[in-house]
Amino acid sequence: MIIKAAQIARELKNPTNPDDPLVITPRPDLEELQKSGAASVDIRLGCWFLACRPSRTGLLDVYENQADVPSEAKLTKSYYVPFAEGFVLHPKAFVLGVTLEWIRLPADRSAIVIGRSSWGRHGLIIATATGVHPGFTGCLTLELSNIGEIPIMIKPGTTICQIFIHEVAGGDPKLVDRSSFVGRRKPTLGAIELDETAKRLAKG
Amino acid sequence: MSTIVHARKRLNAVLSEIDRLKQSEFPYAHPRDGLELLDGMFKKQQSVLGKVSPSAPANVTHNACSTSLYQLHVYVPILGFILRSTNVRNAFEAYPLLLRLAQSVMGTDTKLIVSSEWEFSPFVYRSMTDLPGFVLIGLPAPESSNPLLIPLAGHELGHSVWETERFSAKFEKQIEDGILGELKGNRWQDYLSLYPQSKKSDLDGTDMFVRSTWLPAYTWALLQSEEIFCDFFGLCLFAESYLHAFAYLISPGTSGQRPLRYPNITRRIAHLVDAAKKMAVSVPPGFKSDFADEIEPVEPATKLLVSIADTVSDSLASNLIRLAQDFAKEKTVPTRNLAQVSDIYDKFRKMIVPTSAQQSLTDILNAGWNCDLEPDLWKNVPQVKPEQRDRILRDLILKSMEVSEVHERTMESP
Repeated sequence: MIIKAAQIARELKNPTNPDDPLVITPRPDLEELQKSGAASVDIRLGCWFLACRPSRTGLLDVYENQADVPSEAKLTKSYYVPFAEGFVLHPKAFVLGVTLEWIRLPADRSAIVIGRSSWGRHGLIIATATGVHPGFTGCLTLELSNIGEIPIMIKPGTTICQIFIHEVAGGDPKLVDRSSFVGRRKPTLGAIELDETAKRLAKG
Repeated sequence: MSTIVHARKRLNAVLSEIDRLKQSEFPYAHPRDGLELLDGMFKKQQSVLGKVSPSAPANVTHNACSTSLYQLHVYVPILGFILRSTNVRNAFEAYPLLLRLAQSVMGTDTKLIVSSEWEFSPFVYRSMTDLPGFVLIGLPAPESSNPLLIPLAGHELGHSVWETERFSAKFEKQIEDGILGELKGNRWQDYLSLYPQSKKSDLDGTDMFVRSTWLPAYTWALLQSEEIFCDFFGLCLFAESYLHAFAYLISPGTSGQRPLRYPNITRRIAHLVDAAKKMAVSVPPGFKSDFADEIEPVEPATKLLVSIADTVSDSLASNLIRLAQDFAKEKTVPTRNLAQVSDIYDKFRKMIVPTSAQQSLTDILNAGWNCDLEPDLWKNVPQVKPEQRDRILRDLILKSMEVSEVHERTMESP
């Protein structure tokens, strides 16, 4: 069940379980959320970006020895854009951004992050809908892509996407997200890990 | 004639380099402002050299060339410092809060450049006559992303305060009197063994040879007093977190020869512990025993003079504590608030970035250190793998600083 913005505001203000609260920092305007009829909370763009460095890698092949897979440092270059400065996303460009908000989900909440249609119509899309699992804490990496035809300037602090928060039912409440993306303030590429089935199927 | 040609080429090369540096991605305006000032200064030098005619007397040519060479020696390292300030290894989120702190103690016109140094000690550049109003603080490159070491910037800021407020003038007479008093009193026999023909009355005169026998002690005592003041100032600004950061970076010491401009490490720690008591700052358990003695000089004259410098700078410690406290109070620098520290600490333990109005840099750092020193931090949190612990804590601290800045900026009138 998706939780309405007014309910999210109530949970942010008075967590039902203070030991395992829902937190979004900087906190959205709770009064606005209370009045809103929406089912999501707008989320802002943070200051860190990660762009690919194609000239340093011939091919990303995760099926070879994992040790040979290029590291994040080799594949990408980090950028810090302070408030009031801008980052220009050119047509066809793909870059990882990060949310300004540090988000903490309790064990009984999950979320989906998607782009805002107003930006999407101008060509800027959040490339995938990011699923956020119970227990996640940190800033979310955003996959930003300009599929339009004109360059787009984006500035940290801009509301660029929205988060839909869901109630999670059933299962062991102690089982929470253990991904390596937890607790980060910068975007990260992360490693692509193949499960045993995929490894066996990929063998010649 | 090649001297002037070489000098012009050297300046052209540095100006080309500055043009390249201007294309860097500056996280804040002040490094760029510094670069513009240095660009202007070198262009002025270029213009001076351009006016030196081939028929100019040799001494005129040499003077112009050596002035420009001197500027290169002084400011090329600063260009490197400015370039390193743009490196993404730096903890950029801490900058606005550090700038606010620097401006509150040094004046609102103060410009700050925080960068990383390829030396394993924090560093402050001083007496930059062509960068007026600038404070340049460098943290060791491998630690420049570590916010827990930011309290050491308090010590470096202390150097800038000492210099701009001309605090040394307050102690010069006391130090000279103290050294002469020691020489004529407790240390007279030691002095006589080095300079057998001396009379006590000679020490009061202006004889350059006699003065040169004790002048190093004066210089070391003055430098030591400055270092002691800077430790006290760092402690005033950052409380317990200063002691933790100090121990992290310096303990147990390198076991080498002690640098004479500092009190030896045992005395330095004793001063810090005394000051902490007076400032109601808790000293971490075992703090004193974390540090090992350094090797004292053995050459007789140096040994005597260092020992006198130590005695004199020790005698000023109480005055230096008061000076640091009074100055911080006069500038209304935010002090560590235990209730706030406790509140932020509780949030960090739940991996939450504080949401309430802006937090002070000191409180965030003290809460961060309290978490860092907790061996069981997040041990029962299934999301956190042990190898992620330190990185997550640093990210939490830096995000808290950024959020504090967001509050500050959004509170400002549009």
